[in-house]
Amino acid sequence: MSNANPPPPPPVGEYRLFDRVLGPLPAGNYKIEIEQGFDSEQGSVSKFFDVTGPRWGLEATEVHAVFPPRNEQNATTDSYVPFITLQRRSLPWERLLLLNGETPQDFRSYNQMRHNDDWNDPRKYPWVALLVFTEDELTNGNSLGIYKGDEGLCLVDSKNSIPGVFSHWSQSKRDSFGIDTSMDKMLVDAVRVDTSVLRSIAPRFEELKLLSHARQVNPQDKEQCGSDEDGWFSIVMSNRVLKPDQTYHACLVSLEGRLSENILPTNPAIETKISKAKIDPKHTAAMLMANVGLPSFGKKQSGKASKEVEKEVRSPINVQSFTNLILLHHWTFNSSQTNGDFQARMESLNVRVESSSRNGIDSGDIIPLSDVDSQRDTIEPMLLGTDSVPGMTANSYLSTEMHGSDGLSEDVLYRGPLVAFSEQRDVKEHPYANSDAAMAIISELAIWDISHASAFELGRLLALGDGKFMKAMKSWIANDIRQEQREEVENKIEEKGFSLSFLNQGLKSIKEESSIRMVRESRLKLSLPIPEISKEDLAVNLGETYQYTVVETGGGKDGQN
Amino acid sequence: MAKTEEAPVAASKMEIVDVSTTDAFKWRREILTLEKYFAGNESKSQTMRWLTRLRLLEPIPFQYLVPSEDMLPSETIRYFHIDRNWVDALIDGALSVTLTSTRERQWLLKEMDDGKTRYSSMMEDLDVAENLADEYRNYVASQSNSATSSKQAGSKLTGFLFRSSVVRDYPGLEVTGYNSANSAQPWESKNQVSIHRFARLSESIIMVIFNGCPTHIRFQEPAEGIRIGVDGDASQYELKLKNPDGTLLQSQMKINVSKRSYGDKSVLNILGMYNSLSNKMDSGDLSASFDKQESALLATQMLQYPYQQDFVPYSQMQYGSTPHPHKDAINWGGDD
Repeated sequence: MSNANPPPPPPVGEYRLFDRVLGPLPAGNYKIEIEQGFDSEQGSVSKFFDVTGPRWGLEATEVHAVFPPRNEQNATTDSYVPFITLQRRSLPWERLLLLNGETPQDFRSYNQMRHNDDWNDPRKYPWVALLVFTEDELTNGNSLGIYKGDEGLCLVDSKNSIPGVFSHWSQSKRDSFGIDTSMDKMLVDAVRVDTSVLRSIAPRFEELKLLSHARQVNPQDKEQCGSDEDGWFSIVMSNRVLKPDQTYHACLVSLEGRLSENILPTNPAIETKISKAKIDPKHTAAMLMANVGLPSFGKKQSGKASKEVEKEVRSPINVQSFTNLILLHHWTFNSSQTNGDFQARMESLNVRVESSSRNGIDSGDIIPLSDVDSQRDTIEPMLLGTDSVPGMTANSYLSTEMHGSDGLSEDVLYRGPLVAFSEQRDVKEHPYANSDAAMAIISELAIWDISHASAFELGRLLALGDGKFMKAMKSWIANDIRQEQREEVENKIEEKGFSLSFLNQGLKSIKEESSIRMVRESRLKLSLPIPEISKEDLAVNLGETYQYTVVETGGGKDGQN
Repeated sequence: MAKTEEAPVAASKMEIVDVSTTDAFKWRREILTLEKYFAGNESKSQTMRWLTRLRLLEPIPFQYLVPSEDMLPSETIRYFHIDRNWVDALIDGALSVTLTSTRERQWLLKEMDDGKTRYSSMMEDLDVAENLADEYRNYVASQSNSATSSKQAGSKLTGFLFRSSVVRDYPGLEVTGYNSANSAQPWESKNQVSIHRFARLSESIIMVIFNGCPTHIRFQEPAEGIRIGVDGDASQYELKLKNPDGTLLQSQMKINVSKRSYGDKSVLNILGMYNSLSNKMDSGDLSASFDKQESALLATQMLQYPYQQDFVPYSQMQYGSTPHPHKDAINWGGDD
């Protein structure tokens, strides 16, 4: 997809699928060079910048949804594949799967794909994969191979005798990958799995590309439309359907830079050096099978196989018996024969029977939607607050107690803003002056209805609790009142036949020509004619009036006038 | 356009890359927002935007909305009407806090040029403002459905509370309301009722408020979370082929989906599936518009139809041949 503005959302109920959404640049360190020339003058400047993105883990907010849902007890078996929906449309393609110097051709196992050249572009491969393991597959002895949070593994150093995720890499390789020695002890979530198990269920190299796509949906009918949902998502699928009665662990893992470790059932990078003397037949059999995309079983190996190994296995890469992978996101679920999907959940919603001609179903019974016999059952309307709720009237009033300031309490009725039946709006010209004014009496019952009074008091409390609102509202009122006062005065001036400009001019001349010290400037620019007073007179008068007052000047701008 | 270069590792590699970014806020310039509506007086704008949130019941504690736990048991849906008089009293209470002097009270009750009190004008402004608050949804509606792009100010508000594990486990749940007296064709986009507010009140409770009174409600599995899978069963998985619009091929053609031939038999041969689909394109069975697609092609073929749960009014229930695709759509008491 280009960098043009994205297409508008599809119509409600439709969605669009994209192979991928690529940002302008994958994550990494960059230098930008800007050159400008004008005639003979040349100038250039360069800056370094980083394009960042998640690498060692995903924030919870990056994950929009997972399927089957986390902790699902009845995940659907035999047809659906687990998948994870990520909030950001470009996330699976924000990093490069391959290391510098590696090319897709090194790992491809099938070279006759449709539009074959498209499969050689490394940017089109996601750096993540969703691996789904049964609990047995992840269990080694008594230990489950999921390490999270404080129990996570180090990037490089060993922890509790378990090597770090990148401990088997050389220091120079780690350096070029961006793991400096200060990060050796950094804890990351990780999954530790038997390499042969990993290869038996992991997707092949080309399949990685097929298992991630981007999706645009219409967010109009969704919660939080616009705030965190722009209608764009990326989806990473697994390649595995579920078997019944299993506990599964779904692991979104990072494969960035890991392909040369033979962890996928693909052809590994071929190196030509071989050393027959160093090859352990049992070990090399596993390597052979890795070469052709098969898992190793660690069982009987024929002599013939060993012979082929000597001829064909050319990779000296040390295939580890266990592989540690960065775990970006993890959830578990159980599968069963009973479907627990969206449809099953919706059909399990409870309804209350109003009447039924069926045996064993009585009025008031709560039954799931799926059990409703539409020809013999009548279901109560699913309204909020009816007399089916204990202590509630048919029109949503709840009987409660009100404690008065005199310490006495009395029965009253309350209902909130959400009611079972439509209420006509009573548009008022004036607001309630106080909560007592909002009280109503239900004459038939001679009982107070405190609903609106409660709403009034709640409004007061919420406003009092928000200083910004109080300040803004006060400011609005004060500015308006000031403006109104100004207009009132101006109107009065006009009524008396004066022109405001004339008065302002007069005021200006007084300020410029009078020797009087103006203590305060009139806000309204309105003053009565002031007789001219000389400085001497002023001193005398002030001295007579305020004999014991020390007059200070320079207290402010106004004091200088 | 700027020249960029990978550094420091691939300093010798120079490529021209378009690093221009998209205009993320272009949409805000195309619609009437609260900021625009109240532009010109910042204090007033702040005040009215806060009161608009109050109108939408955003800061209201849950126990004021649902005063009894029995009103909303788990795994239920409950429909409601909004009592606007209650909400108006709420606004009155908030306003009262700032009206501490006679002059301030007079300010609120002052008659404006149009003969209405300032209080009345404020309430009318809030009627409009509450429709503008959900800005992105309004933008999307304006782009994709004219029926929901205009809302009536101060109109009747209805909605529902939905308490279920579905809310927690299927984020992005889609809800659409329709108003139709015609029981034959209720689910047309022209009948759609605007969503006024769609909020998650807790991990398992959502509240949806409609601007108007829908007669039909449709819940749909989230489009971004639609199940992905294959047809058939473990003895032979298969894939029913689809057109680019997601409909099944008229020929009902399908391909067999193989499993990985070693190790665990629940691992699908994804590459084999893609190659089979490629062959179907070569033979002309699958649309040529899939030609350049890879993962999108696979997803199109593997996506299952989203499940819809419909709720229709009691008066439109038709036993035996309901006008909606699901047998268990039931009455919601929305007749008004």
